[in-house]
Amino acid sequence: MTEEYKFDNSVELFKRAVEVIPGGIYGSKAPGFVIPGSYPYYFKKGKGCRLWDADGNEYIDYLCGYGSQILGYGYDEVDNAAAEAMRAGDLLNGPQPEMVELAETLTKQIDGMDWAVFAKNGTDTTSLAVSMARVHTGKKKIIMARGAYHGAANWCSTNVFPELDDRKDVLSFTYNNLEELCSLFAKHRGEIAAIILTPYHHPAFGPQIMPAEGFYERVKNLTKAEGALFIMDDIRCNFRLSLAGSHSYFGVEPDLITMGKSIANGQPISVLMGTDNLKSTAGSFFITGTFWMSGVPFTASLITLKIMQEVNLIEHLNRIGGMLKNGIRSAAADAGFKAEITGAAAIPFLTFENDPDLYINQVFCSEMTKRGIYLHPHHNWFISYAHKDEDIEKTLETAREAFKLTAAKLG
Amino acid sequence: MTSDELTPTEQMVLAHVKSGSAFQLLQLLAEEDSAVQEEIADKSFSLGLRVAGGMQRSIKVVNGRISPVDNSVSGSGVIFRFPTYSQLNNLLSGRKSRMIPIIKTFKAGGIISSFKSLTSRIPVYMNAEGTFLEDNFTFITRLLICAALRGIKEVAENDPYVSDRVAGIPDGIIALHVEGCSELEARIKKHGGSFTVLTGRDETIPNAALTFNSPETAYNLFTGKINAVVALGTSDVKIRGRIPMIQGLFPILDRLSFYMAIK
Ligand SMILES: Cc1ncc(COP(=O)(O)O)c(C=O)c1O
Repeated sequence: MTEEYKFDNSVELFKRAVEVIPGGIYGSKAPGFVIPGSYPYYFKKGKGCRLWDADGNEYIDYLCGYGSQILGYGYDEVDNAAAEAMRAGDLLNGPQPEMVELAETLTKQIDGMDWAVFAKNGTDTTSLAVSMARVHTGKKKIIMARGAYHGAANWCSTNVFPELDDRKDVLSFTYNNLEELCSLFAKHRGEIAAIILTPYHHPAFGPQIMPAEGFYERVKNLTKAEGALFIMDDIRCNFRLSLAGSHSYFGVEPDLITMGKSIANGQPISVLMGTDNLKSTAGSFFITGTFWMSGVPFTASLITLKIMQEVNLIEHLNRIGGMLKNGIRSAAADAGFKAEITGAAAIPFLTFENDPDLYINQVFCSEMTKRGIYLHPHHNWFISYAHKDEDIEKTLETAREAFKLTAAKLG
Repeated sequence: MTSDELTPTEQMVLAHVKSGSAFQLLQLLAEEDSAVQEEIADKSFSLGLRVAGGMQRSIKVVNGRISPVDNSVSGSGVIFRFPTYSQLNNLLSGRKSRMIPIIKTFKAGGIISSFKSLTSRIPVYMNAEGTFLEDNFTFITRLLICAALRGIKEVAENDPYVSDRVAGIPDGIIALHVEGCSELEARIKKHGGSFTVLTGRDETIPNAALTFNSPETAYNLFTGKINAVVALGTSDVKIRGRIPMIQGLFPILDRLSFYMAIK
C-alpha cells in the first residue's frame, strides 16, 4: 500500500500568506477549490509530467499548469531558447523580430485567421475580443454559456458586486440549448455584439459537454442574421484538439479566436486572432502593457509551435489520453463504480454516475493525489506530450488502489 | 459603527438579522435553559413585531415550546408596531425605541414582561465566559451555529447587496457537522430565493457539507477568534460536496459580519 503524502510546508506557507496576502492564495488556486488536507498548495519544481510540491512530494501531474505545459515542464529545447533570449536582454523598448515571425506563423497555421495581436493572459484577449466586437458592431450585448469560464475580468467572472456593472450587458444561456439561445437572439434583436463560446463546454464542477449536432451551424446562422460576431475562446483547448485551432476540429468559422495557456509551453503570452474584415477595428484599439513586448515568450512560442508539429502532438495526446480514459473506467468498474470520463482525450474529466455533488470524485482524487498522482477533483485534467505509456501505467496502478480505498471509505 | 449610520435598506436587513437570530435563539433556549423553561411553563401566548409597511414576525409560546413565525403576527396578544426599522433596531440593541404596543388581550402586561425576561437570557449565553461557558460549551456552540445560519438566511433573503450572488447559488442543502458531536448538526436549505434553517439531525445526504474538526473550532470560528480562510486551508474545517454552494455563502457571511458588528 502506498504511503500518504503530508503537506505541512504547504499549510505553514499558507498560514504565513494569509497574514500578508488577502485570502492567502486567490482565485482558482485557492485551497477551497481542491480538498484541503489532501492537496499541496505550493510547488517548487516541475520536469516533464512530474511535479514536486513544497514538502518535496513528487507527482505525476494531470493539471499541467492549468493546461499551459503542453510539452511538459522544463522542456529543454523551449527553455534553452527562452533562456538564451533572456540573456540577450529583454524588454528592449520595442518589439523584437520574433513578434512578427510569430504573427506570420500563426496566421499561416490557424485556420481562417488573418491577423494576431499579443497579450499576456487569456483574460486580456477575451476582454479585448469582447470590446472589439462591441466597437465593430456598434452593439453592446454579449452572449456566453452559463458556467463557462472566459477569465477573471469583471464582465465574465464571479466578481459580482452591485458597484460593478460590467455584467450588465452579458447574457447567458444553457450550453447546447438552442431554444434558449434563439430566444435570447430574438429578445435582444439589434443589440447583440457577439457570442463567445469555448470549442466545447468545460465547466468546473461538472462533466464536459460536446457541442450537440447542429449547434455550431445554428450559432453561425444566428450571428449572421444578427450581424453579431462569433468569438471562439480556445484558451483551454488550445492545440489539444487540432494544431490548426479547435474551431478547425469542429469545422466552424469564428470571427475572432483567443488563445493562450499552451501556446508557448508555459511562457506568458496570449493571442487574439481575427478575420480580415476586423483588422481595421483591431488597429483602432490602443493595446499594450509594459511586459507585453517581452521577447522571451515569442521565442518560446515559435519553438513550441515547431515542436508540436514535429512530434505529431495530437496523435500522442489522443493515444495517451485514450489510454488513461479507458484505464480509469475499467479500474473504476472493477471496484464497483460507474465512472464517466468526458471531454476530449487530452482534456478529460472524471465524474461518477449518481454523484452530481462530486463526493466520490473528491474522495478518489484525494486518494490519488495523496499517493502521487495529481488529479484535480473539480477542474478538467490535461495531458501533455511528456505523459508517456509508463506514466499512465503507474497512474492506473495507483487508481486501482485508490478506487478500493474510495469504496472502503464510502462504505 | 452604529445603526444610525446605516441606509434605510441596511436598517431593514439589520432588523431582519437581529430579530431572526433572537427568535431562533429563543426557540433553542426553550429546549435547554431552565430559566426560560420556568418562564414559559404553563404559558401560552404570542408576541409580534411589525414595522410600518414592512416586516412582520412573531414568536409563539405554547406547551413549553417557543416557535418563531415568519411573515405573520396574527394571533399575537401584543404587537410592537414600529414606525421604522431603525426604531426596531433600537429595541433589539437595548436602546430607547419609539414604538406603539398594540394590545389585543388583557394579559398584555404579562406577555411583555415574559418577553423581556426571555430575551434577557440571550446575552447570558452569547456573552458567556469562564465556568458558565465551559459548563454549557456545546449548547453555546449550537446557539452560535444556529444564529449564524439564521443570519445567513436573513441576509440572503433581504439584502439587495448580495441578491445577484444569491441568485447564482445552486439550490440544495448544506449541512454543518462537528466531528464527534452529532447534536451540533444543523442545515440550511436554499430553494429559489428562500432559505430554511433546519436544526437537529437528518439522515438525508446534503448537497454540500462543512465539517468542523471539533466543537472548539466551531466556537472559535463563530466568535471570530479564528480566521475562516485559515481554518479552511488547514482543513480544521473541511468542505465536501457541491463546493459552489459553500463558496456562495462566503459573500453572505461577509455581509453578515458587517451587520453583526453594528452596535
Ligand atoms: C476557456 C478559458 N478562457 C479564458 C481563460 C483565462 O485565461 P487566463 O487565466 O490566462 O487569464 C481560461 C483560463 O483558465 C480559460 O480556460
